[in-house]
Parts: sequence; structure tokens; C-alpha cells
Amino acid sequence: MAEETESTKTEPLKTAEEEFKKLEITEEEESELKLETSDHVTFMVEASIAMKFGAVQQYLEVSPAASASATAIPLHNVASRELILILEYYRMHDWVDAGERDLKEFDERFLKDLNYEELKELLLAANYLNVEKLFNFLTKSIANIIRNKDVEFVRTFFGIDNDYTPEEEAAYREENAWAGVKFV
Amino acid sequence: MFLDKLISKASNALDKIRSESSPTNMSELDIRLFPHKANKTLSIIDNGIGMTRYGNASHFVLFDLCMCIVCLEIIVINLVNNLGTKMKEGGADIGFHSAYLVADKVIVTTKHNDHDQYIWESQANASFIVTKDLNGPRLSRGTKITLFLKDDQLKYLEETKIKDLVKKHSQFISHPIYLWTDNEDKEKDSNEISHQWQLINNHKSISLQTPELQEEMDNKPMGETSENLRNYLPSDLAFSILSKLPLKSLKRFGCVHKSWATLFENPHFMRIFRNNFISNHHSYYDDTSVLLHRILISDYPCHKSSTLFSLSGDRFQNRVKLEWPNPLQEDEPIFYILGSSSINGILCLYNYTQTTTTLWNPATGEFKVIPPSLNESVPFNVYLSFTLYGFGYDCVRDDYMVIRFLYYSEDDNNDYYSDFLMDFCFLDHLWEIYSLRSNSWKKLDVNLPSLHNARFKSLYLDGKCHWLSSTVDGQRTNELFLVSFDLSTELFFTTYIPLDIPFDIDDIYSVVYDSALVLLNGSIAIAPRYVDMTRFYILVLGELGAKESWTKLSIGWPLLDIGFFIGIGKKGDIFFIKMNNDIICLDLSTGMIEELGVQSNDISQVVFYKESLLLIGGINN
Repeated sequence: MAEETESTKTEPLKTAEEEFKKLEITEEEESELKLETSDHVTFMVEASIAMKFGAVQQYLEVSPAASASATAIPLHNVASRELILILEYYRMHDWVDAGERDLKEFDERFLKDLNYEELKELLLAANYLNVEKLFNFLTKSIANIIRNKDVEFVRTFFGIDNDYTPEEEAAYREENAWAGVKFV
Repeated sequence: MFLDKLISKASNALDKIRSESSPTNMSELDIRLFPHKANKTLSIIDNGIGMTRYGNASHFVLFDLCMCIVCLEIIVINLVNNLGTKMKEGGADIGFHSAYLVADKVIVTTKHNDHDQYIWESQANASFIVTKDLNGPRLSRGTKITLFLKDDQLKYLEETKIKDLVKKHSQFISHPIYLWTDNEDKEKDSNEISHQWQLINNHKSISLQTPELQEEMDNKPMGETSENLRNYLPSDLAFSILSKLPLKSLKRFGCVHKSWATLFENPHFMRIFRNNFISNHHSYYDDTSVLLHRILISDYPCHKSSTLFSLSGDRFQNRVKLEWPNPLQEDEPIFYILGSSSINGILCLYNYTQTTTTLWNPATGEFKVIPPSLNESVPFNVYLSFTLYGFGYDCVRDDYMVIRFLYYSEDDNNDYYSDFLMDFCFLDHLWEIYSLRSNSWKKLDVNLPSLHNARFKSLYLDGKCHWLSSTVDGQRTNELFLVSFDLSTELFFTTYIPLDIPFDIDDIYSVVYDSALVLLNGSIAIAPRYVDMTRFYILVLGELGAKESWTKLSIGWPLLDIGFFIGIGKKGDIFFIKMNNDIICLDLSTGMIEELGVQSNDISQVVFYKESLLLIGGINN
């Protein structure tokens, strides 16, 4: 799997790779690392960005040889779709010329393009990769999405089953009426 | 509870190895509890990653790392890892500290894949020894924590007690927890699977990282994972999100699931919640700077000075002294500042006896002395005293207001510092409100709840002046509440402060006396002014008028040598005066302390200031 090349990829993934290439904002030659996603797509990623991923750092600590060789670093829980987004995010935030306002606009657009399911998938990937900045951004954004929502929305969003009995739930809602949980 | 912290710590380590790239049989990851009655020890063993530079860097623990930079543990772990400089990444969970509640001695043995095995041995008196473990039983990988229990804490060796604790406090742990149920067995090797290891938590293996699901993920193209999986977010991720919610939302979502309702009792979660709470962006602080007002008194020669500094820079290294206005042409005017902030660039100043109040715009230098009211003329044998309660803005009438309480008595014993106001018989008292537009005082028809010394106990926020007050039953104060006076409607309402939550002492009056009303990142909060190490926490109000919405946020820092609290700056910067009169700032989220290089030995305060060129005279006309 280490020798996997572009030719083995399936069609939709190829477009993903093209999309990924479009995102490149630097032409400069710098050392790159080969990352392989769970759906077996390999990405050549600037070392400066790849080394921001805790999972990559850890992998290289265990097997330092991987940085120099053509061996791909496997990212078992990240699919190409998520990795493309993660790279897009980090490239933008790494870009020296990006002003505060640019980043804000970028972040807003980045969020707008994701539906709830994609957002969750991305959070799982960010968690697995151990990328702190994106993880914090996503958790904060999800918190903003749900903060004014009702209890039922949040149960659905998190995929959580209600473990209260109707009496218990009514009691909780009564006690915490100030927080806006009272049945209407 | 000590056990849940240690278990959650162990669980974190397991989560970590799950995300490591090295091949591991995932099903082997677990936490084992090994009580040993003869030795009076309880061992907590995980076969996670062991401690390394990144060993504990799960997201939750990362916060802890930042927090406990000043704590002993971080030094220990840095030694273990021979890292020295890598302070930020290394470190142990603060949970270790809790172990001393029940144990005299703690031994931690840790083994990472690419490290040798190390032993860290520590006694509660904070001394510790780190050694490379060459002789002890080998851990294949992971951490073993052995608690040498205090004689009065042996109940933690009981099977039922342990099961209870695990059930109660460690339900969020996604790894199996086993308990060694045969007490006679001397076998200590943690890695040997035995039928006597009994599973004691409701371990659910619903997680994307389990091997079966991993395979499933690998074999399926994206977007076709089963529906329930797509919906489910693991609880540690859910809690990361919940920790970033406002208080009100978090309380509302306690209704989602029982485990969410108990988050408020989870010290680990609350620590993270607190750090997010104080660091969230709040528009209240946009473009504001922090002013430090300090008073220095020297006895010989007797001299008092009152200085106002504008503080800026990461370490408050930039200090600019502001020149006071001098309406009365004094040699050296002594002022105090009413409230905790400027309003549209205007500060409200008063003198020691609170007889003269001055509005001042530091940006333009313009000032205006508030004229006296008709109620101030009294016969020669009657004494009049003032207490200023608040300076605020009425956005409906675009007007600036000052509220004060006047009381008349037969003698002048009503010294400003007297704490026994309730014992005095007034001849009379009344409330007055000043309006800048009309440039006059007006008697208020409402009888507001009062408080003798309003300093540190009042603030202005969103069109309302707030202060702390209490009801008096005979000579004892028995109920503490917040008064909120709406400047537009001139009506007030109260928010009771539940007495079972705040302070575990008998006399509520001393609670009132020792408390300061503050803004903690934009929220109304009550902080203790005199810090003792046993109880330092802040009560934050979730919703005005809702008694149930007060929430306790612990500070949890070793606070030595601290005299008293003088205010809260931005993002949980807490300012104190130390015993040696130095003013310091404690960063609540990191525990870092900055010396400001300024001294004070009297009432000092911290004020928010937002520059504006508003003309006071413009309103007045």
C-alpha cells in the first residue's frame, strides 16, 4: 500500500485529488510527506503542515524513517474528503498574507459549505489527527450552532437516546425553567 | 472524587493509543483496579500509551496541561520524560493530586513503547523520587498507579465501594474497567488476563475506533457508514463541544441525557468549562483597556496618594499614568472610582466621604462636579452620610445617572468603615438619583434594599445598576441577594443567592462582607475578596432573576501569600494585592502569576475603560 500511486485511484477520488491540487497556494519547493487516507488515497503534503497533525508527529516519532522514504503515513480514520478539507483549512490559516478578516471570511465560508453530518465527520477526523486548532474551531462552531436550539434538536444531532423517564424529564424541565427547557 | 479522576486519566491514555499508528490489538485496552488488603494498597492499571511527551495529550487533558504548569505534577512528568524544556506538551493530569486525599504515598510506574520503565514515587508532603525501574514487574506498556491508602480510607479496598464509585463517577469512560475480585491472590502482574478480573462498568464499544468498525470503514466507500454511527458522536467529543456552551445552554441540555445533567458535578469537565467560559470572546471587552487605580498610604510622614494607571501589554508591562482632574484645586486630589467600568468614555469619581461626585472623561479631560441636592441641607445637630450605589446609563432617555443612599443620624458614628450599620437607628434615610440631563438629584419613591458598604459590591451592566444586599433578622444576616435597578423604569428586582451553594460558613454577614460583585467575562459573578486556600471559587449568574442559575466555578490554584482581591480584568485575569503589598495578576486559565511592579496598601481597584470623545456638557445642555 506504500507504493500506491495515482493510477490506482477510482474516478470520483481523482476529482478529489484535483480539487486538492487547486488548493495549493504555494509553488515553492519544500519537503513533503506522503499521507494515505482510509480510502487509500495518497496525498503529498508540505511537511510544515503535516507536522501540525499530532497523529503524524506521533507516527514519525515511532518510525522516523517514514519522513525521508516514500512510505506513506497511514491515517486510518481520515477519509480523503476530510483530509482535503483539513488541508484547505490549514493552508489558509498558515498563509502568511492572510489577514484577520480574510481568515474570518474563510472560516465562515468553510462552515457554510458543510452540513451537520459533514461537520461531525470532520470533527471525528480532526480528533483522530489531533489537530488542535481545527478541533477547537469545530467544537466552538458546533457549540454556536446548538446553543439556542432545543433539547430535541440536540438529541438528534448527537445521536443520543433520552434516558429520562417522562416524570424525571418533566421534573428537570421544571427545575431548570430559567434555562428555557420548560415544555411549551 | 479521586477514583474517577484517576480512572478518567487512565482512559485518556487508552484513547491515545487508539489513535497511535503503531499496531495494537484494540480489544486489549482496558483499565484494571487491583485492591490489596494486606498491603493496604489500591492499584489502578491501564495498558494505554504510558507517559511520554504526547502521552496524555488528548484534548481534555491538554487543557489540564496548560492549567497545571505551576503544579508539582508537571515537574515530575518532565523529569520522567527528561524533557525539561517541553513544558507545554508534557505533563500529567491534575487528577493525580486528588490521590492524596486518600493516600499517604503514591507510586506511579509508567512504560511507553519507546521508553524504559520509570517509577515516580511521591508522598503527600510533595517530595518525590523518579527512578528508572529495572527490577520491578514489567508492564508491557501503560501506567500503574499504586495508592498506599491512609488508615481511615481503607474502605476503598472494599469491592462494593469500588464498584459504587466506578458506577457513579466513571460512566463516561469508554474502556472496560475490571476489578480484581479475589483478595487472597498475590499475583500482581497486570497484564495477565484472568477470569477473576470482573468487568464493573457498562462498557459499550460504540466507537469509530474499534477494530470491527475500522474494517468496515476501510471496506466501504465514504458516505455509506450505517445511520446510527453517522449520528453518534463519542462522549468525549460531545463534552468538548458542551464545554464551549454558555451556562444557560449547558443547563438546558442537561435534559438531553442524564449524564449531561451531572456534568456540573464533574470537576474535570467544570475545569474545562471554566477555562472556556473565561476565554470566550465577549463584545463587552472590545476596545477596552484596563485601568488600575491604586492607593498608597504612608504613615511617617502621613501621606496618601491615589494613582490611576492604564495597563497594556501581555504582561501589563506598559503602564501609563493618567492625570486626575482637579476640580477643587487641591494639592493632590484623592479619588475613588464608582462602578467597575467607564460608560461611553466617562468615569464617575468620588471623594473619601462620598460627598462630592465628579464625572470625568479622561480622553477629553472634561469634568463636571455633580451639584448638591436639596436634601443635603440639615440642621447643625444632624449628621448626614452618603453611600453611592451606582453610576449607569439610561439608554431610553440617553441620560447618565448616579444612585445614592442618604442617611441622617444624631451623631457621626456612621463612619464609612463601620460594619455595624444595622445597629444604628437612623433619624431618616432616602434614595436619590442624579440625572445628567436635568443636572439635578431627585428623590426615588422606591425603598431599595441597601447595604452598608457598597464598595466592591455594585456594578453597572446593560442599563441596570446591580448590588449585593441582604435581609436582616435581628442582628443576623440571613439572606443574601442581588438587587438589580433598572435605570429606565426606576424599578428593581432581586435575585436570591442560594445559601446552600455559596460558602460553608455560619454567618452570612461575613459572606456579604467578604464578597465582591464582579463581571467575569461579561457575566455577573460573586468572588470572595479575602482568599483562603480552602475555598476559592466564583459564583456565576446564568440568568438575572433565576436563583437556580448561580453556578460555582472553582479556581483551584495554589494561592499562597495572597492578601485580597481587587478586581477581574479581561478573560479571567484576577488582580490581587499580596501580603507584601505587591499587586499581582493571576491568569485563571493558566495559573500564571504576573507581578505588576506596583504596590498598594489600601483599597485599590481595576476598572474597564473604553475611550470616547463624548462631551459631558453636550448631554447636560
